[in-house]
Amino acid sequence: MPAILTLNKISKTFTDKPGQALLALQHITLDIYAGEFFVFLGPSGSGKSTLLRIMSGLETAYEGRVVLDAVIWHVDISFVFQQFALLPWLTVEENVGLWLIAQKIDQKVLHERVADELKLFGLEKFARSFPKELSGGMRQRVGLARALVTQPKILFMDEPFSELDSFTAEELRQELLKIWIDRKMTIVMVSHNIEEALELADRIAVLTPRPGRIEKIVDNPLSRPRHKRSVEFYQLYDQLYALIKP
Amino acid sequence: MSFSKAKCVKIYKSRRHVLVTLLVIVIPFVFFLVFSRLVKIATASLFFDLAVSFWRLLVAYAIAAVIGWLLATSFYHGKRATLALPIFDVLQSFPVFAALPLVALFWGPSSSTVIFFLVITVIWPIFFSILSSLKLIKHDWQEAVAIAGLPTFDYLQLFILPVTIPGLITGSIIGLGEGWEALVATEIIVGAKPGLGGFFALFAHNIPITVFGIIGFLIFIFSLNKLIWLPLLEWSHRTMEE
Repeated sequence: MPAILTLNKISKTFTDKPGQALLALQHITLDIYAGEFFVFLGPSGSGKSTLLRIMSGLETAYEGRVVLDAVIWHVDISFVFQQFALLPWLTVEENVGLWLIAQKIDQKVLHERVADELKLFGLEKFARSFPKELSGGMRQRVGLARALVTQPKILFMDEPFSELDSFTAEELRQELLKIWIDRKMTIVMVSHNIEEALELADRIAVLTPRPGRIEKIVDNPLSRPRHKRSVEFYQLYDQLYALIKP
Repeated sequence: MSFSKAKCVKIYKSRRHVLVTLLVIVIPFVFFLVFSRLVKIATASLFFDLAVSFWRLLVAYAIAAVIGWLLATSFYHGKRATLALPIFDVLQSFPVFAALPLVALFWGPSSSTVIFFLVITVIWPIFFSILSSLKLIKHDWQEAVAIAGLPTFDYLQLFILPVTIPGLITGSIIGLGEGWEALVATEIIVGAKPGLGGFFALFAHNIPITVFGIIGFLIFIFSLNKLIWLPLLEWSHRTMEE
């Protein structure tokens, strides 16, 4: 399988406080393959969000090399944020349309694509609402619609479901899986939830904290749809748990 | 949906709100009318003085708002900020009236002199208020906009402009408050006529006229705030709420 994204000895040191250099990531090297669902799993402080920002180009100060496949442009990258990161002065449809502006498409096409995406996430009724009028679950639907409307080749997700209640989170995970199978993009997600990682991922990189290092990359051979109550699921769960809490 | 069309700004909550505020703007004019009749000065010349002074302030405010916004948005972050902000800080505390006689020497007791001094008075509250609203930009928003990869014009229109509006409004309220003060002072010092400064200078020995003049002046400023700035301020805070 061809690598769509390669990380070569990525290290990141935070020097915010003078005299206190904090090594957040140390020598991260791995390949991410086109079309796979890849999850970075680790406790807080393992630098997984920082790593995601380095991969997506949001963070530019680091050591090592990030190599993207030649077919990937800035517009092919999308991001879902933990805290949704919607702009409060724009309506739902404007928030979703914002990321399409850079693609310089016709206004009419832009409008149609935004409408389609809103429909997919059941947001048509809220097109003219402002983010503050929506519940957390609805806000993250807007966040997902905004990320997907650009038809990205790589979708980065930073703990996208951790701010939501467990019912809404489960519902959105199922919707995401459907869209992922449908559109065949690459998803790189960060999570601290073992069950979530096992439910979604093809491969899981376990990160350990201080400094953030890859403990192990675990293949997830469970066939889809996955049954969270199966013996195999629990075996993998225990294996991952043992890696995180040695 | 259209990003380019100007949206109808709903700053008033209800029709009653509009009516009450409209009433408020009528009061100062009635006051001036009655007042000028009582003290037997020409009503027309009083209104003319007020209009000329108001026009000077308006021109100065427009210039200060544009320059203040451009300066704030150009110098709010990065290396430029560390270099420029201390300079602005010094400039801000510069006693502008010290240079008044010198400038009056070139431009005389003209509107240009008054407007020039108003601009350098009004600009600082506007500049620093916009700066502080730019400092409050959330990291999250910045990242969302970075992923969007907006072209410069859209970036300014859809991100920087909305973020700076609360600061612009707060700065305008403070700046205009100081502006009225500087306006009358400058007009009196350089002897610019017509204008409110000229009015107060003319009646310097008449205590009732001066007192009532100041009261009328205060009602006028209060009405203006009530009609325009306070609703705008409330609206701008509403739009930034999360």
